[in-house]
Amino acid sequence: MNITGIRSRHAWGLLVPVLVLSGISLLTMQALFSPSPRHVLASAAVKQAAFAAIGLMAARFMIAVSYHRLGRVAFLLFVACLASLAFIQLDKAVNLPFVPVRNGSRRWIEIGSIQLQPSELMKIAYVLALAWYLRYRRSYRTLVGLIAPFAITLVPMMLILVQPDLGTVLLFLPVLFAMLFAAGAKVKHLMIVILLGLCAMPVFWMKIKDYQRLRLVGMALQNQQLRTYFAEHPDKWEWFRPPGTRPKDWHNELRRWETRAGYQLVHGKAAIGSGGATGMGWGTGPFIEHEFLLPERENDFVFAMIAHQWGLLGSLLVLASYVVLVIFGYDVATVTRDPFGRLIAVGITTMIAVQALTNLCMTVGIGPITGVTLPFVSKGGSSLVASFASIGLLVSVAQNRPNIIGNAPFRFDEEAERYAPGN
Amino acid sequence: MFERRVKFLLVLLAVPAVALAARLVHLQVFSAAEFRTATDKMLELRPRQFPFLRGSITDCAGRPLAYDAPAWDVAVHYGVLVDEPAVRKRMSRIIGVPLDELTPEMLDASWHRISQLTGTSVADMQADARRIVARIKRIKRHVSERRGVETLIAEEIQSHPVVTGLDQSQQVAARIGLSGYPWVEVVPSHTRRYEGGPAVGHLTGRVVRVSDAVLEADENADDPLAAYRPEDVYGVRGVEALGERWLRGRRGQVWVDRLGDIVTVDRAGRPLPPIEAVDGKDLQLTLDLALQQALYARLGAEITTRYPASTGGAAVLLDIPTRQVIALLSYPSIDPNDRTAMLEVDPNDPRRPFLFRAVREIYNPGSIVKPMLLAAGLADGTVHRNTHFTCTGHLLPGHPNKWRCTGIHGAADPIYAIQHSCNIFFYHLGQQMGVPREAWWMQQFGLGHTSGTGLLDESVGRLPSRRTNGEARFAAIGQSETELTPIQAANMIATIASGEYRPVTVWANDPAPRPEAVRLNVPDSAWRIVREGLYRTVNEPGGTAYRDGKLAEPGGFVLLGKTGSAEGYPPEWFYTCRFPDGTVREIRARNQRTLLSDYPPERRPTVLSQRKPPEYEQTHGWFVGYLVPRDRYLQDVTGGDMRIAIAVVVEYAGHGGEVAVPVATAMLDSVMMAGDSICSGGDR
Repeated sequence: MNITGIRSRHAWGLLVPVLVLSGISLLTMQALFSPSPRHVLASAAVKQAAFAAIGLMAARFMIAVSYHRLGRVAFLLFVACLASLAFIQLDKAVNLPFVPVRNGSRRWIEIGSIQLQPSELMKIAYVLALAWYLRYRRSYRTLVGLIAPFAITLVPMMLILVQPDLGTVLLFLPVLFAMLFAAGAKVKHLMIVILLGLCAMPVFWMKIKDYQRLRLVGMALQNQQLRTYFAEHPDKWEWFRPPGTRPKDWHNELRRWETRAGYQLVHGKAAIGSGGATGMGWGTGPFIEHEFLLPERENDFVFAMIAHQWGLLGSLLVLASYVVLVIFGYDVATVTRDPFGRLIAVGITTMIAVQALTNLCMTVGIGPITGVTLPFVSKGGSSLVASFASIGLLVSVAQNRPNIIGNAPFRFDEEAERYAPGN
Repeated sequence: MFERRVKFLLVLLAVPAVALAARLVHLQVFSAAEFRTATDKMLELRPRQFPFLRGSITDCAGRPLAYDAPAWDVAVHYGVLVDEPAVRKRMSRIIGVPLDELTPEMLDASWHRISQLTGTSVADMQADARRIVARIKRIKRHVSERRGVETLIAEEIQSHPVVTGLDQSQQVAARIGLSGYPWVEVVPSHTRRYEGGPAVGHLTGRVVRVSDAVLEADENADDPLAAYRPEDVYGVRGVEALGERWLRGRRGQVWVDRLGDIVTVDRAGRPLPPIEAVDGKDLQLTLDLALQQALYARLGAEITTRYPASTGGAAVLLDIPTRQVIALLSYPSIDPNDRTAMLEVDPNDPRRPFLFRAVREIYNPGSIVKPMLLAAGLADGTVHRNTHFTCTGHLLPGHPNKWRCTGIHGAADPIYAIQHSCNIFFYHLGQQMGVPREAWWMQQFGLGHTSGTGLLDESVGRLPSRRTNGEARFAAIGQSETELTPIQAANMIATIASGEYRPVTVWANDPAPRPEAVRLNVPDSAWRIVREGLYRTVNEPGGTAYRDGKLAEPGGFVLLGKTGSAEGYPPEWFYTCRFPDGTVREIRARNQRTLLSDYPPERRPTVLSQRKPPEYEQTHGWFVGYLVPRDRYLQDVTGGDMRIAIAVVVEYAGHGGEVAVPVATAMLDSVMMAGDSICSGGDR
């Protein structure tokens, strides 16, 4: 009997990098939370391992269930996730006992000691729903036909944005574009939408909060020469000043950048850089021993801890794992001929890839700080289980290939389309 | 097509992945050494700071008016102040008490024990605690927002004072009584105490906890030892604010490792010397506390016994050659030590005890501007010694109720006009000078700008600006737009006495150089005419201050001066009211609104008519003058024993000649009696 349920070579290509990442994650949790990593087992590591186990079971379940069955309930799932997201926001009006407020945001549903983060489940439900919607259509070949996919995207985005959780929100758009692009939407149309979005950027810049603006500018400010330049030319720095901020405050932001907006960036980079080529070793190094040096080191900045302990070797191993995962993920999309499966594979792979890239770029200081966790590695049960489940879904797509008699999907013949009835 | 597009997506994702790999190589191979150094720097030992004492404020004889006294605070750990499991868990780790022993009953018991030992109610302490928690949460939110992640701040693992200012015996009792509660600490601290009571209450000002705005605008923000910290105090109002930089010291500092032990060498063996705290410097005032208190009592007694309708008054005594303040009085006042009394002050009290009248309140000067404008007119050649204007009691023929005078003075020359305070002479003078010239001269005598003490409380007053004949006439008798503060009035008469303008100071050991005196462009002959007028005002029959301007023991000195009466808006009106039960009564009130709000709707009266109070209750009485040896009263005051200029204003009491002059002479008598003991520290 095949307990794993795995029948495809793709499955191993997907599971091996995931297991490598989870292993690194468990070791890091143990290093961070145990007073003596070699001797005392940290409860956080045990918890993470338990979640990984639950995640594996979720993946196994996904492999067992044909993803087409999931597709039929995709919209139901999607609506259920929407409802739970809306339900959390209800807490703003009425104080609900099982919606905790942490650091000003409402993201969790808490039942006893179990915490659920509906936005994590939303990611999968969204990909399923969008794939289900797009699978047999060709309406998105027109500009008007793009309205429905965008609507499906914007509703959950809005609900997550008000949590607020800007980082998660920003994952949805790349996934939407990737899926539309893969499904064959016209590049011209997508370009128009992107251009429209770019035109809205100034509005976006005016609307976001001061600290968010600083995080965007902060990327450039990590350059010491640039900071010195602005310090010597306060009038230039004044250009970026958000209306409603006093000039003095804005100047202070620059002067004390390293301890304010730049704190996390400076310390994260120091943790990575001081790891060197081979690292400080497991469970050792200043950033492991001193919690205060880098807040959020087990969540958003967990990659810095890996790079600190295992150096360039460790960080490249993490990067390589994601690369393998993404290559196999896209390969799954190309080997199946089922349009629904193809779109699921593209959507989920893109989701994981974008999330990992955003987090890694943020940690090494080539992207803005957005508060996105590193899939399979950061601490957090919901995220881990959801990520495993999505890998299970990918494996399911790779293995449960329905026999389709007909043309390969998404092969649009421009010439034939022009004369097709209904156009 | 699909395969091509997926490949394109893969290539698109490869771009950032390659950039990422390159960046990692750059960070971890080429810059590794640099980041190792940076990390070492982050791990450096942590500084621990200890406080300084704020400088004292003393009088000219060194008697303290304000000082930091040692005191003790009862501080409670943050984990007790907030009811959050995570914070409490952290506290239990820090203080070494198991979490299950930190029951709500235990914590409640400690609150009640503190209350018992210190006499502060639990409700008060918990109100304070809520404020502290709100502030810390705000800081935490701020820091977390800035750094983009939730950050643990130092305040969350520290104790915070809920009761302050325990004395020696209380602190011993508290230490013993609270030893069973490890989350409560008794920590050394200090508290600001004020001596001298209400006599100097406004002048010393007071200190308050720094606000967020002050923290943000801190000029020493770059110096961690001098920068403000949230628990610091800073001076608001009075000398505490004036000398803030001088009075503040610099904190001391030692280096501690992560366990809190003091270390003197770092890991590389370099010495880390401890830095001593530098206490703030003492600020010496020019005035004498004993004299100030005696004069304050005298001013208060004069005002309350003679003019019960008055809402208060102010007096300023200056040393003429140096323009140092001898006394700066404002009645009524407050005692900065007595917090409860300060809280009980009715905000609608027309006597306004919080108002520092001597430098802050602006009044119409009335006739006290006349000597100044006469000197100006003589200097400009607008009038001469022999100029005569005929006074018929009013300026315009046929309009007896317009532009009136205080009496019918006939042909008035300058000296006569000052002595009798003839308005008609000055209407003509003012009209011929014009408003711009008048305002320019007023500025030369110190009006329209602060007097130079640097006190933040000071008002600048107002100069006439409307370029009309009417305003020019009003300006010459000190009504309408012209307004000044008592300290400006005192400096004006001191300028007339010495012939030169100089900014006033209250700060005897001010390190900043004193500005030079400015000789006014007024010929001696003009000064002599003005001073003759001032002499006759007080010392010859017919002068407006003649009757009461006599000193008890002149001792070869003579008082020169000028009275003034300024019209003020009456503080209270009389309203004839009919009540619902039919009775009709006259009631005094600030205005109809406050009158009606005093009664419930069913008993609310209807106002039948209203009238102003008697004229003396609408008039501020002024007197400005100075003491001078009898035989040299026409000359400039540059030295000698008695060289005091005085300005007195009594609110809503009547004309200056009748009201302010007796108060001024009473005060000058006190000063002359004190004589040599001023600023010698001797107790009278």
